[in-house]
Amino acid sequence: MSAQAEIYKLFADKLFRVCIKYSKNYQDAQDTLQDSFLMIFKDIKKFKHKGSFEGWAKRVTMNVALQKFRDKSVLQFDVLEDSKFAEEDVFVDVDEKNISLDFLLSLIKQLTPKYQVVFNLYVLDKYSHLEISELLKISIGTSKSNLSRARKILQEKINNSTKKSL
Amino acid sequence: MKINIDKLFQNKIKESRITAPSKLWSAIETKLKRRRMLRLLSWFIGVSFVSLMSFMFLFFQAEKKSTADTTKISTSKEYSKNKIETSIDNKDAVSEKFEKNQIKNNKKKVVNRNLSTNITKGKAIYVNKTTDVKNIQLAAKKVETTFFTSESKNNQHKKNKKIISGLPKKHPVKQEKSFGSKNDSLNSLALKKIDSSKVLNKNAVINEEKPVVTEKNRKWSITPIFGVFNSSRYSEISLALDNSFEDNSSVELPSISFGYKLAYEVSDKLSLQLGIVSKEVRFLTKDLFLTDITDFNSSNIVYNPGVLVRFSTSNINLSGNPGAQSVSLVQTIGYTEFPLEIRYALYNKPKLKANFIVGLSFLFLEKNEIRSKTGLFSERIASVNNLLDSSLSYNFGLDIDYDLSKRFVFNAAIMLKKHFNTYSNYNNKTGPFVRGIHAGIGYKF
Repeated sequence: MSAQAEIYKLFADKLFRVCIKYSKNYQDAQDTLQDSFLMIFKDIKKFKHKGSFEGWAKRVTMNVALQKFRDKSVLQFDVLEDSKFAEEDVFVDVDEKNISLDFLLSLIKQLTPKYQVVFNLYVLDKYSHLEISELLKISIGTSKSNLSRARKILQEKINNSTKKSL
Repeated sequence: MKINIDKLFQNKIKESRITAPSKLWSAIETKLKRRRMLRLLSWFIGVSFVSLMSFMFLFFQAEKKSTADTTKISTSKEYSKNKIETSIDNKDAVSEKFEKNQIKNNKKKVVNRNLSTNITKGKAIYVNKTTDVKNIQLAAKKVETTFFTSESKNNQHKKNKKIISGLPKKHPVKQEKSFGSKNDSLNSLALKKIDSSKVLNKNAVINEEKPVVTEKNRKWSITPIFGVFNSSRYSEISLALDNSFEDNSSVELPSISFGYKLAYEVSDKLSLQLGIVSKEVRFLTKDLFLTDITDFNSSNIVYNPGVLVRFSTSNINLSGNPGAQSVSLVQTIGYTEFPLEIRYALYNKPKLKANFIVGLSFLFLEKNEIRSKTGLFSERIASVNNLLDSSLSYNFGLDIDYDLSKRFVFNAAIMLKKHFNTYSNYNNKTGPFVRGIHAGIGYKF
């Protein structure tokens, strides 16, 4: 098996997870993964061995996914600087075992693109607000407020669905 | 139970088992191959373009040089003319000097004589004479003597220098029109001078009457070629097919190639050629068996769908079946080759030319097949998965050009081509090399 095939075998699943969070559906996620690998093989000489290859490959995938996201959506972020409001933790009263990942992903996809991106980056991909602000070229406050809004919306949706199921 | 919403999402993502679709790799691989092909093709186009530009540059340089040579010849002609003119002027000067001396000695009337020749403008010689024809006649006789002595020297000099070709066909010296009838003697002097001048330019005129006809230089040639060659490797063929075939002997098989090559003659010594050739590289691996134990998986051989046999080094079949059949494996790798080569003439005679060739070829994979061969049948049953779609080869060789006519040339070449970048997962030592001959009759234009 060629080196490229080895790389694919090692990282395809991990990178597909990234893709699926930023794609509208499974097919879009496949396209994103394909483009990401083509980008990785093209730019592999740019990998300077400063961090792990996986981290670098994830960043490349993230950039491809975000670019696709940008191409399809108009990312206009709410400029809100209320950081106190943004720092609040949000809780939901659910039984974790009864909630599937597909359900949670479907809830994320119902968010508007601006909330969806910030929530994914901060919560699922563990970017800091500083990194998000640099990546999306927004202020840290805007990142925080958009995250807070996203959390609230998701909380509401989860609570509603729990009530319905009861 | 209350749970932080971030934790809820993170935990679920962690727990999940998301797997990438298995078929996606083949799509990526296809795109990668296409991209590699495009990159090589664009590289080839780029190299061809640069080569073409180089041809053009060298061509125009050669043209300039040829123009410069023409100018030199022209200057040479001028020089020759000037020499003749000077020679005549010198003669005139001698004549005049002599006349003056005669006049002085005889203390007679002043003779104002002015002979002038303007050969380049085709003007006539004007001889103005005032008086004393006798003196002039006497002077003329003596001048003639001096004149011929100097003339023979000049002629010899010109012969040696060989700069007399291309002079005007007729010496533009008009004869004695300006002389009046009463001055017949003077006319005869002028005639004699002109005759002398004609003698002086004899060679020039002779050469000029036979103008050099330069044949049109045909720099391009296109040659359909047909060749036969053998393929080989520096290391065992079996390694590139399967690690388990390491001990199996392999032999090279003769193959054929055909195509076209286009050559451009940059100078007498140097020419450039490119072409398109279809060729196959073939190898035979001996002492194998076709077994029906299909769980034997080769590292590089991919069996065609529906093929229920496998190459094996042992003759064991499934239990209850007779022993596995003894076969040979024939691997054929077909390429479309785009050679780009420089030819340097080692021997250059009008009819025959021998050249040293060096260059490289871009190879695009066209055929990838593995056949099982017995005494009874030969059947395509597999291909290999470690051949790259595009590769290169270094080319070296010698060729001869023999001119059959002005337009047609016979060309034959002995070539050695070392392939590299042939396999995706083997080093270049396993890349094949081919050696063989090709020949064809080319058309020059």
